[in-house]
Amino acid sequence: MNLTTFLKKAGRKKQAMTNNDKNIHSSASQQNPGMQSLNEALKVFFSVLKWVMLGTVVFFLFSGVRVIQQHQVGLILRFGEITGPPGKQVLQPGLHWALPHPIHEVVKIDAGRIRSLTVENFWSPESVSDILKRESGSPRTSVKTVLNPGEDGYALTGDINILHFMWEARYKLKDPLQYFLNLAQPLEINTANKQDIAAVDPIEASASSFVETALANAVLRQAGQMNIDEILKHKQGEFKNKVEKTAQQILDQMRTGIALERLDLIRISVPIAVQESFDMVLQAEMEKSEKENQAQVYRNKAIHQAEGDSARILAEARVYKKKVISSAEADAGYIKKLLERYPSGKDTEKLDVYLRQYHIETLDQVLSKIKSKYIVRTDESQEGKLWIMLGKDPKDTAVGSTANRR
Amino acid sequence: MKPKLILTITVAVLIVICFGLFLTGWTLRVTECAVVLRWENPRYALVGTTKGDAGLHWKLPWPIDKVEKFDARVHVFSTRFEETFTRDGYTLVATASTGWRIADPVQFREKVGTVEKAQEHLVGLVRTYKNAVIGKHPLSHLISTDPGTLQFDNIEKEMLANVSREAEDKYGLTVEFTKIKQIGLPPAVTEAVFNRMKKERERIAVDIRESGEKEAKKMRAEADAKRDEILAVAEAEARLLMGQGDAEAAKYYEIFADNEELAIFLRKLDALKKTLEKRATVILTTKDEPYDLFEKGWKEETSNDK
Repeated sequence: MNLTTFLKKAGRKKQAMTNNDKNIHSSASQQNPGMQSLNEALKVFFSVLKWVMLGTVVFFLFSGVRVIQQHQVGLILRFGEITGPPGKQVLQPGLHWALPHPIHEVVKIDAGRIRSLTVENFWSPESVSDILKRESGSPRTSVKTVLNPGEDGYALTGDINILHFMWEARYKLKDPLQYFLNLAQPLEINTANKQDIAAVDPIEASASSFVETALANAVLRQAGQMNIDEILKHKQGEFKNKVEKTAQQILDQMRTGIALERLDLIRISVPIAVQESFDMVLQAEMEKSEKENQAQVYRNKAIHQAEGDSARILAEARVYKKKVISSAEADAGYIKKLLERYPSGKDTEKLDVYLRQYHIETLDQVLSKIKSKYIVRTDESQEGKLWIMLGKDPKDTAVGSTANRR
Repeated sequence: MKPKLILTITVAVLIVICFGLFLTGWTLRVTECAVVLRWENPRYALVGTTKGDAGLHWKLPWPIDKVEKFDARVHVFSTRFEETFTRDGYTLVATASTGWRIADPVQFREKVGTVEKAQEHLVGLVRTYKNAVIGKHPLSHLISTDPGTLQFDNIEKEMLANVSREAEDKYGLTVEFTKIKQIGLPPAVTEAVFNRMKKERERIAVDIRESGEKEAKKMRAEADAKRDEILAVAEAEARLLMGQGDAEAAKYYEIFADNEELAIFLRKLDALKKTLEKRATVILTTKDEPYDLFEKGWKEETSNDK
């Protein structure tokens, strides 16, 4: 029996007593002045009591007003049964009116708040400490070469490799009624003392084991059908999304009324025992990209050079074109002029003389520029025979000839 | 006097009624189930979630009738790691999570009593059927990169069907779900897996290095080919330009053709000028002009000449 019921009953009893007392005292009022003054005093007392009673009644009426706060929703139970037409049973934040306890009970559910749960089923504490050690630069102490179930959490990938995960789920209630009807309060909460209950969020206490189950099952299912490289690298986002989707499906199947707001893969790691080998692969990848970069540089250089060369070749060709045309033009012009001055036929002799002169002049020009000249006296019989030593210093180059007899 | 007496009596009656209601009425919450006992023997049971069961109910006052209530919602518990063998001889260590609720409050009260007891009973059932069901399947039904071979749903359904049937018959419990929560390997096997993973990584590292080398070589070869192509195109164009030059120059050669001898003579002289430089060495005979002057004077025949 709670306080409201008690007060109500007490109030009714007092009211009944007041009526009885009045009857008794009104009949005794004429008897003596002493009694009369007592009667007066009692009357005053009872009138005060009436006001107190009235106040109590008003208090009852207002005790029916319940506030459902911003992030809460409510249910009104009439003798334990949910009131309201289907679909409109959940009360939104605001003021609501309910009858006193044994008739109505208001259940407030803190549905709007987002709770979080870190799932470490797949994480190995050994790996955490080891990673921290490596980050701080001190050498590794011991590397675990085996993993014990129960101590070291991990998940198996589709190609039967081992990976460690740490997940963080954020969830809230999307269907508070479904949550209220289906999720029992866990054992520890029921048996704990009342102070502890006040400190514990009842939704978190009941929902976390469901969320954990759904998430763990989803991780097993999804990790079990992808291979380790997909999960570690190029399909990690897809893996995470699939886990989230599957976990939500499982939560829906279990009719928990819980919605995953967000799922984070806060940590993912290969086992320490094989970390070095994975680092090696990373190293190889770096080398590969280095080599490819170098080849890229080579490629760019070669192409730029070829482009430069081709520009040069074309420029040279253009120069040649111009030169060959202009020299032909010049030559032609020269012959034309020559023929104009010494027209063929009439003055061939003049032309011959000019040409002879020009020939000698040219030879003169050419030969005067040349430093080493050897003039050999020819002999009819020895004509055409000449001995030359090549490749020696010009000073002592002996040029033998058939003419040395002279 | 008289109406006051009536009022008094009414109030007194009301109080008695209230007290009576308090002794005989009881409420069942929608989330609960209850067993009503008369002289400690169960008379009937109510489950809040069943339509019409939640609400106000009547009984004879204590100690004739008694009501025992239980939470009718779903409880969850997990089993410990246990070894399980697959059909193809793999040893797995697995845990499962099970959700259950009270189906038959009378049977539950009689055979189980508390939530803790229920879970103790269920742990055994889950263990038995988990081992039995996984033992009927090869590992590839649980873990495989080929989605076609996976039968995770079927395995869980089989486990659930078996556990559920027995829990309902024996303990009055409905098992809502059985979900495998973790699958691991025995410690010794994890070592073997690590060794395999290491070897695999070594192979991958070699593959990556080789492919890097191959790729780089390919890129270099492509670069060379591209360079040769650019140069070839340029050279072709250059030849074309030079050809054009030659063709255009040829227009002027008509005049050379008409005076062939003269043109060739002039060209020869030109060539002589261009080709002979300072460092050249020239050997001449006295037959050559103007050194024939060593041999002869003005209009004089060379001694050797006929």
